Amino acid sequence: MKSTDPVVGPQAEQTFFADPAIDRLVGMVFALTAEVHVMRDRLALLENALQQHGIDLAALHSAVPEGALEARIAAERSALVQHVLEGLSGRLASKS
Amino acid sequence: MAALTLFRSREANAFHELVMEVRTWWAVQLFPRLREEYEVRRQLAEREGRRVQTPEDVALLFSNSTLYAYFCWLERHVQKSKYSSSRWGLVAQIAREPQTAAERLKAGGPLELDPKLRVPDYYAAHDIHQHPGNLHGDANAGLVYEASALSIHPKTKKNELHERFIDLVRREGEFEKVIDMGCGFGKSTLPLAHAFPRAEVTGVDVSAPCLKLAAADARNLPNVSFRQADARHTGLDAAKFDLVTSTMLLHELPEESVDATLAETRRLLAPGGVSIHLDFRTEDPFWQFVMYGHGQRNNEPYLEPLIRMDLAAAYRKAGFEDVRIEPFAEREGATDPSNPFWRFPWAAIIARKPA
Repeated sequence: MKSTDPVVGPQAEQTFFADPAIDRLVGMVFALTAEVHVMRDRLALLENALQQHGIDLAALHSAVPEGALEARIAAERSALVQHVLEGLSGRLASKS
Repeated sequence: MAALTLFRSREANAFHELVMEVRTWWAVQLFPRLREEYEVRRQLAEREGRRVQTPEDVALLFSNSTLYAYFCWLERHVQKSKYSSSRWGLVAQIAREPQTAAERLKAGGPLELDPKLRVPDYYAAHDIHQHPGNLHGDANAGLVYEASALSIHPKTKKNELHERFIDLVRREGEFEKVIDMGCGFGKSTLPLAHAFPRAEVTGVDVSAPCLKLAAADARNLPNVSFRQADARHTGLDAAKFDLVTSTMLLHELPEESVDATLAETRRLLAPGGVSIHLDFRTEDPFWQFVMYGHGQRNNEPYLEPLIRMDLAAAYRKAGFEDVRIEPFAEREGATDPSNPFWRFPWAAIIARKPA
């Protein structure tokens, strides 16, 4: 099968690149981004809980970050989004 | 951005915080790059003697743009993921937490449902906003829509758009009998009821799940009620209302339904009554191109026809006078030409029924 074979029929998703393989690949990158973020979010919560309350994993499931921890997670999230998506612009980061 | 508490699951909340972060990045970082690329491509085209005057001209400029392909991809797929991710998408996650849904949907203020109402064919034909099953498809549809709406106006504070809409309404006068058409889950209906405590406010929508959520949130508001009806023929008494509003309704309607909704608006209004529909207008070919694409990518096929429609003429034909189409800023400075960020090109269409 050629990589440019599109899905045909009513289930066909919109595509935006010359090769639909790229559309699907970006989908996987986005899903990975979400997985990494969610994992890092959980890790931060875990570290915080370990520091403050000892090992209590059940409490992590419904924990809500507040104050400095909330800000830390927000900063991590921004940095991750910037890191993963900054390549999309296709622009130089240095003189060539 | 404060930590989300939409769900009991912290993982799901973290996922939706990421979705909002990406959406904001798209609006405040990627979109300005797209605009810059447009200017470069436009100047090149004009140096070659090609005029760029229409959205079709703009589309030609972007036909080989990788940046535009990513712009489109993110707009389409971040929204898709928000609704439909099997891991933490709104539809799946809200279904996983039935207790939360049941608490939110506890019976509230007055609500008149019409079990015989059949949603219009044009409405049932598309899953608006990529919402699986659409805004009326199942009991949780109102909750899904409400949660989704959190991430559609980057840079704008929660409720800011609707608060500014209320400010606009106040400038048009004091009102006693108000209808809010296409009220959804009551995002503008409840602020109207708060802003005009002596007024009787009625929210009208075809979606029962959205109306149930609106009524639940109105349980402490004595001056608001909700009614399941089609905005084109509400079944309410003629000439009894002094204000008819809608926010983000018209662009979901095909042109003939816009005309029918304006006719119904006029029928409901008492002589001298005011109509204020908030929707999208732009004369700029770049913004027209962006919005037409948004309509395609967000399953809103009537957005482009609405922007192409001569609304002022449609209002006059429907029997309105003093028709004004005014740019609307959803936050301070949003309509300033120097604002580089993506936004919807909001406009308030204000008109009066002859006295």
